[in-house]
Amino acid sequence: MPGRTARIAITAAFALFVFGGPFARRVLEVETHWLHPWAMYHSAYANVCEIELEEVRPDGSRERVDRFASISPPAVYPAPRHLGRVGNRAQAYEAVRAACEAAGEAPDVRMRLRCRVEGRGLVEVADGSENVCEALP
Amino acid sequence: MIRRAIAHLVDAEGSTRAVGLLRILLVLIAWARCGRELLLFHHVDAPDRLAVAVSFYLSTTAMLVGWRSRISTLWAGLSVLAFYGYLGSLSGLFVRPRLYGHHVYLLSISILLLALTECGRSYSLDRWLAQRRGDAKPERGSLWGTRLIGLQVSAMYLWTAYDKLTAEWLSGDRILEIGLTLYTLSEPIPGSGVFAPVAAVGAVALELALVVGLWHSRARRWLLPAGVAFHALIYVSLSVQTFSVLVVALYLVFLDPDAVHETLDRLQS
Repeated sequence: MPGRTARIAITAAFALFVFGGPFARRVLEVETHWLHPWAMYHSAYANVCEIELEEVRPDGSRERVDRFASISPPAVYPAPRHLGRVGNRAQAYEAVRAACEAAGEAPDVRMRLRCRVEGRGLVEVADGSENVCEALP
Repeated sequence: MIRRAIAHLVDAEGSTRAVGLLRILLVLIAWARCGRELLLFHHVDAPDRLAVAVSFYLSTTAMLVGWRSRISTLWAGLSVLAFYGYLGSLSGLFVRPRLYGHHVYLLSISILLLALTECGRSYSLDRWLAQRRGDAKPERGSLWGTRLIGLQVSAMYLWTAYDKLTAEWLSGDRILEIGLTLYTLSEPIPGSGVFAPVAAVGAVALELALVVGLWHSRARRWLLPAGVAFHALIYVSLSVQTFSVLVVALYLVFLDPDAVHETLDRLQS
């Protein structure tokens, strides 16, 4: 075991390393693998949207669209964990297309969509006020 | 006050039962976390990777049984560090290095620091052999290494809390995004408008409290169960592998080692 003075010096150096290292990485933006940043959940689960589809009937009533009803599970289980998850606008409009096709003639489907923008959180893309079937390319 | 803090860090001594127990727990966690990726047949084509894998299994086995405990613990710590730095983060062995790298990093640092303790004086082959020879030392030793592990745990909580001090986290959106990804597959989560911000702020508040509170005996009484519950919740709800059990195991370094000794005595009798 090192002497007391050495233990104090090593403890001070270690404290500087574990508290100062992430400070250098995170605040001073030093790029090095030797200092651990402890940046948890910073970029995990990054590509995701919140989507809600509603079909508007001719009588004006609204019914929630079950997106998963049109998804065929794969023959081999387990199904991939992301099956049905909407990660961006393009995937949201794929879901809209499926809902519009399932709704028959003159479909009216409304979409509320929020997608993640890094640093800003879930940002509204569509508020459900328009018939998105008409906007499909 | 500063003198007391320094003395607490570098002069403290106590029972070695807690560090002996931690030595065994860290090996089991290391096997659970690194074992699969270090199976020998994965690395037969690369001598450097094979050497790390062989070193990992030999050193952790010696560490588990407590044979030449401090040396084997140091060797195991270096092996896990090699897995983290040489094979892991830098060469792409980890599937998601930015997420899972934390686990292996904390594990390697903790094992290395445990080598600074008399972790072989309890629950070890070393002790059994010494008892047979009749020169077994008392189950007491310096706690300096455990204080360094404590500093690492506090630093981890501080910087993970800092990571969450953003509008995106505090609004609850990051928690909501995790829920949308893992649970509802992008469908809205009922009640999340209230639940998510409360959970987000609560997580940051608890992490900041744990930074200093774990060192304070009166605060620890409340914070340790809260921390255990927090990590248990994360374990069952997110994909954190062995991280929760590792952090809870490391809480051992904050407990009064003599109280741990007495408790273990009671359990064993």
